[in-house]
Amino acid sequence: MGDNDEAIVEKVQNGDTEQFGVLIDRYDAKLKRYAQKFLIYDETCTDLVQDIFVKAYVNIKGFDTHRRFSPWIYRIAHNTFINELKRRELAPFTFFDTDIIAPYLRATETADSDTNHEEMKGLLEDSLSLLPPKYREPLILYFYDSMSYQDIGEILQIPLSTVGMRIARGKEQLRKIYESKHGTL
Amino acid sequence: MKNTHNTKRIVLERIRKGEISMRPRWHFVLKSTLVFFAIATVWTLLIYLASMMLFFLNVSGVIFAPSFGLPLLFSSPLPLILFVIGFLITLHTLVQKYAFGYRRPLLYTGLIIVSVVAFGVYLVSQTPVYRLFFEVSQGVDITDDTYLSKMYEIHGEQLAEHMYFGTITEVMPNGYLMQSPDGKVHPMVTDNETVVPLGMTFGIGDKVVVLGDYETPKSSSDLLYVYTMRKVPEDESLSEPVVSNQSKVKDFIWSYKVTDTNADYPKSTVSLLMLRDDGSRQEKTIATVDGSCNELEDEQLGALNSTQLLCYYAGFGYQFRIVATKEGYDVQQKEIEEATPDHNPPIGEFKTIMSISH
Repeated sequence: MGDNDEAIVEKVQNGDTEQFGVLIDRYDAKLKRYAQKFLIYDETCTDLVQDIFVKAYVNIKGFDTHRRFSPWIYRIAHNTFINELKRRELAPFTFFDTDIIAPYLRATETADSDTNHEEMKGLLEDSLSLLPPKYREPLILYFYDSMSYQDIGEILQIPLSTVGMRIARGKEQLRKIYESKHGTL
Repeated sequence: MKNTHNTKRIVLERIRKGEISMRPRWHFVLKSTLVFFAIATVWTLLIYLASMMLFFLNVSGVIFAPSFGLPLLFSSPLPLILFVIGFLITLHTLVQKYAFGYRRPLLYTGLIIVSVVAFGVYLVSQTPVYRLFFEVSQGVDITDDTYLSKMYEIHGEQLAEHMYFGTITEVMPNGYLMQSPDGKVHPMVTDNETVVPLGMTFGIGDKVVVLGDYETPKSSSDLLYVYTMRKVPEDESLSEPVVSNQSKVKDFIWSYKVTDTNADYPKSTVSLLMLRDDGSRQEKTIATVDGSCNELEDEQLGALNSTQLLCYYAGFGYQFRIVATKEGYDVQQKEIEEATPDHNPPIGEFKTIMSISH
């Protein structure tokens, strides 16, 4: 078990730039999967992920090693992907999102969460591309990257209750899409 | 794994070749400092603008619009409202850069910002800054023609439709003369149908807010027909500058100017400028009278060596003086009438029309 991410970042900040390769080893596959799922198997994913690492390296001295590295690099990834969607005019993102206005009751996972988890992954594989990016992204982070609501909130810079609401609505929409394609679940 | 190696190899090669380099730490420190100062600046400007808006709402009497059933928002100075909304959005956007901003629903962050701004406005209202607004708005320090100066003058205009604000300068048999802050005199007509709060009476020097119309159902008129009026309570009136308890009046200066040139005979507005020992000044409208005025050099001097003032027209007039009392000073007025060979009018007595504290 090597150093944790933050300790490696500290080494890079202090001039041991080769250590940045360790961070690439740890996050390259995760970010590529995130890119492929979010941008829907896009051919430019590899280039985008390289961009993410370049941005992370350029700005690494701005990272506070008392915080966690994972949400920080995912935030860079999120911004990169959103810009890419906007560039290709595929993103229906608006300047003002009504989801973040009011607080929502937090959706909590039930006892059959594990079953739901596997079931949801199946649904995601089948119909993820048909979901709007707003719901697609938190579902990817939650089900594929096993991130907490808090981390997702930090990456997307939205309140925790909005994370819960988007995941719940995303799941609901996925079920509807699946049922419309294949009949009752 | 091959892909990972590719990414790693490409990125590390670019680092080794110096094609990409880390931004220095000071870059981020500078960026954070700039954002912090931007937030502080926007916050300060927002409190300043909100304070100014509240001041104008009070000075113009628009703050009483809801009591007449008029919407407050649409009766308010629009440029200021737009500025305040713009600054609120800017501040909110800047605050969202920090975790404490985006972690809460927009509603909460907005409420927190509005609450802090409201508290800031309250704190500002406890300082002499409103007095500064008042003095600037009175034209004391305005020498330029900039947009900011014009903003201060907004209160002189009639802001809400059918709403007027001013000081009663004369009580007439069927109404009042009221002078608005821009110096315009409104001849107001009241009758049995005019609605006033139960038991409220009006006299010279009272600040009032009026809902009325120069237009009658049949034609336009030079008279302001009053539907309803109410007195502006002293504690709600910010048109009176906040005067420090420590400062004392050190000099009185009369001012008089012809304010209604359209009338058949000239009308003058009499004001009294009080200079205080802390360097501040305060002006009070005393009355609107017929004719023109002049200071009486030979008459007995009043409090703080103040002169007496005579306003006169066609054989009738008023004489004003200031006398010292225990609590401060009284402005007194006496009616005068010119004697003729066959008419020897009684000598009038001075009556107090306004009291001024030390």
